[in-house]
Amino acid sequence: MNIDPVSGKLPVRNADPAAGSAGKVSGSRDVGSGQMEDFSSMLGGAIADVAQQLRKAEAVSIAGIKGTASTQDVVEQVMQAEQVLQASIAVRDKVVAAYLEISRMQI
Amino acid sequence: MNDLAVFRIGYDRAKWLAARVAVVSANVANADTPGYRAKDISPFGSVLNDARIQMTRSQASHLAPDQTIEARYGVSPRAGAIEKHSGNSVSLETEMAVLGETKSQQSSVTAILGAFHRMLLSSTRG
Amino acid sequence: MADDLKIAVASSVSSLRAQSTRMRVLSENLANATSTASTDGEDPYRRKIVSFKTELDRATGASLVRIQSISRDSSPFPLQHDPGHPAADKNGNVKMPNVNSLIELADMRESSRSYEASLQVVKQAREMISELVDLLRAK
Repeated sequence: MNIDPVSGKLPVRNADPAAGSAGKVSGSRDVGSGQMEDFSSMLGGAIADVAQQLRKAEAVSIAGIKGTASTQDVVEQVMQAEQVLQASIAVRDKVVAAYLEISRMQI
Repeated sequence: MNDLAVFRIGYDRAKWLAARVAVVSANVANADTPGYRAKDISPFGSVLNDARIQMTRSQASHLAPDQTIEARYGVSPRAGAIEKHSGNSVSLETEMAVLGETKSQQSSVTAILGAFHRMLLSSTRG
Repeated sequence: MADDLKIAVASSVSSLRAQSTRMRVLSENLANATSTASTDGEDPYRRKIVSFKTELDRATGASLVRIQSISRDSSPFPLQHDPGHPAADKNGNVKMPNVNSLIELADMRESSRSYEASLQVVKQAREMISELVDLLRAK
């Protein structure tokens, strides 16, 4: 992540639901390409993405249990939910660690 | 994060599947009993919002006489069962097919329950 | 939910026992299909019949199958003309056991199939119980 040294902001990540790898959060938040957003709104957005994916996974799982959704759909959504959750937990842990480190610094 | 809905319906489904296995087992056991008719339990969709399902959720582990599978889900003759001259209508092939399907459905349900359970655990871990 | 799976196992185990007994009796009939008497006036082997009944176990709610009775087939002994036989009557006829091997074999096949099916139910029900318990182990 390249933090702009002047404004302290981050470049916008473009939504890529097909990526699926750790560190990338799916979901779209169209801020406009080329614009910068700050860390807190990125974090807030990431959390909203996870909640949305979890709700989606839950809904399709309930449908799967009732027999109205296919196994593939359930597997796809649940795996995605696990992935984004894992990523957000990793971010959370790093934020907490960074906060603790900062709070220990002598100013 | 409120996952309780998926757990509740998952458990309902698992209980229904177990009851179905018990009925299939009774059918197979009585495949050669004269006059015995093959049975099945009510479809899951029809019992989903049934008042009786509410009972299964708070059920004690021992069964009172009126807590039979019949009382909890409703049991009726298996559709399409053909009666032999002995009066018995059990087809082992049908019962084995139902058993196989029930088992695979349970695998799916336990996998879903396991996944959400793990997600819940990992997100609440310190 | 595990209770119903245990009920399933109980039903099928009762079936295994009942079918085993039945197969034993069928084997006995087959083995004695030509067991005549040794003298005139005595009866040859009389076919045995096994009948099943369904029993509801009040404690668990399981539907169990039991042997209702092992009785003797009262149908008449067929006659075979064999004047030299020690059990031949004054007409030279010998009473043969009222066992039809073809029927006994057909019943044996049916019993064997039911036995195998019940075995499958026991196996799969136990696997399902195991799967549920494994949820507690999932990390």
